[in-house]
Amino acid sequence: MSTPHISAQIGDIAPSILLPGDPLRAKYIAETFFQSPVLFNEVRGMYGFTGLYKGKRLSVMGTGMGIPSISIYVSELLQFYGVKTLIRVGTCGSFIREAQLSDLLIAVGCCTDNGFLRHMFPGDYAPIADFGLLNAVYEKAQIRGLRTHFGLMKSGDMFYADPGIGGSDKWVSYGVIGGEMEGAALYTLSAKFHARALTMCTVVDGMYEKNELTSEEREKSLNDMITLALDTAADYSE
Amino acid sequence: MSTHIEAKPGEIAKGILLPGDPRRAKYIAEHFLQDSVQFNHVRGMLGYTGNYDGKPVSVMGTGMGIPSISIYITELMRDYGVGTLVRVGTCGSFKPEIRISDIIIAQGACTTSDINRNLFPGTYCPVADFDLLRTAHKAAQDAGITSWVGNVLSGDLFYDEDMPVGNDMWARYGVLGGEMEAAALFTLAKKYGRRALALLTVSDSPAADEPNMTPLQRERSLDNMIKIALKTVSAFS
Repeated sequence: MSTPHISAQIGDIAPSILLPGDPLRAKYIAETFFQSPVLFNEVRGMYGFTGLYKGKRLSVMGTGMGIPSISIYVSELLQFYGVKTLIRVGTCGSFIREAQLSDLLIAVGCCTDNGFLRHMFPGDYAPIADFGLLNAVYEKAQIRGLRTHFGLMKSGDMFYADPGIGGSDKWVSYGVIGGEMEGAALYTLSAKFHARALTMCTVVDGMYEKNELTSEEREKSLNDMITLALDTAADYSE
Repeated sequence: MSTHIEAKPGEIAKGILLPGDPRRAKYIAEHFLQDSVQFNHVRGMLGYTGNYDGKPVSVMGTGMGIPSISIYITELMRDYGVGTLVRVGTCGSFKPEIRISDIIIAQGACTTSDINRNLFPGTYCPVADFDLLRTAHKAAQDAGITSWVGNVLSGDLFYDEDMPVGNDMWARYGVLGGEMEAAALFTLAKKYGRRALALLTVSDSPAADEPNMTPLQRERSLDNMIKIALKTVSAFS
C-alpha cells in the first residue's frame, strides 16, 4: 500500500528519517553514510533510501522546497509509514552577523509568513522543535566543537521576496536568526502525530556575507550537519 | 522610575521572577529571599529585591493577561535593564494525564491574542530562551521534580465558554495547558534581546477526579516551581 507521492510499502521506511530539501542530497547521504542503502521512492524524483548507519536502520528522503511540498511528504510519512523521528537537514540564510557561512542554525521554533496556521487555528499556533532532540543535538554539537546557534527561524514562502513588507526586517528585530522554507510545517504536523522533529540548517547565504556557496559546495559541504543528524537519529532508531 | 513602577535605578536586580499575583511575589520574597526590600507598591503590584544564594534577585507581580504583563516587562527591560525574566505562574492543563501540581516548562506559547497578528506579516512563534529552558529542565531533573516541556496557549479570556471553538484543537497539536501571559513575555523578551522563560504549575485540570486549586493554594503551594525558577535566574545573574 503506497501513498500518492511515495511508492514504498509499509516497513520500507525506518521510524527515524533525515529530511533534506534536495533529493540529490538524500542520495548523497545514503550513498556516503549508509551501509546497503535501498531506494524506496523515486516518484517525482523525490529519492528516498533506507539503510544502516552504525548498525541502526535509518531513512533519508528529499522533501522539495516550501511548506506545501514538505507538508505532503511529512503527512504521508507520519500518517501511513509510522515515522516517529524526523530531522530536517537543510540550508538557510542567516539574518544575524554572528551566524556565518557554514554555521549550523537549529530552530527552537519557526515563525512563518505562510497562512496555513491562520487557516487551521483560531489564533497563532507556535511550531516548536522536540525538546529531547534539541538537547541531544546541543550536547553532541558541544562535544564536536561545532559552531551552532539555537533560536527562532522563519519558514518563508518566497525565496525571492520583495524588500519591505515581505522581507525579514520585522522578524529580525524580534529575534529571528535565519530563514528557510519548511520548518513550521514539519513541527506542526509532527506535533499532531505525536512524533519528534527538529530542523537544522547550514548557513549558505548571509545578510552580511559577500560570498555564497556554489550548488556543488552546498551539496557536499554539509557533512558536519549530516553526521550530527545521523548520530542523533540513530539514538532514536528504535 | 517608570510609568507603573516606582523603583529608583538600581533597585531592581538583573534577574526577576514574575508571578501573576502580587501576593505571590510577597510570599516568594518573604520565604525565599534574604534581606528583601520592597521597591514597588503602585497599583498594588508588589515588587521586591533580595538575595538568593548570595545573588540579587527581584520578584514582582505582573497582573493577569497579555496587556498587563506587557506593560510591566517593557518597563523592566527598557527602563530598568532587566536581563533575565522567569514567569512563575499557574495554568490549566489540557490533558487529563497532566495533573494538579505538575509543572509545565513552556518552550513555546501559542496565543489567541492579536498582538502578533497586528505586528507581523505572518505568524510569529513566541519561544523561551533556549539556555534558560535547558537550565530549568536540568534543575527540575536534579531536584527529582517531574516537568513537562512544550507548548502552552496564552489566551485573552479566562471565561471562554462563548468562544466558537474549545481547546481540543490546540491539545491535539501538543499544547499542554493554558494561561494568559507567556506569549507576550517571550515576544517582548526577543524584541529587547533578553532571556525569558515561563514555568507553570497546574492549578486547574480537566480531569474530574481532581479539585482545582483554591486561590490560597495558588498563592502558596508552588514552592517546587519557585525553587526551579530561583536556581535558573541565579545561574544567569
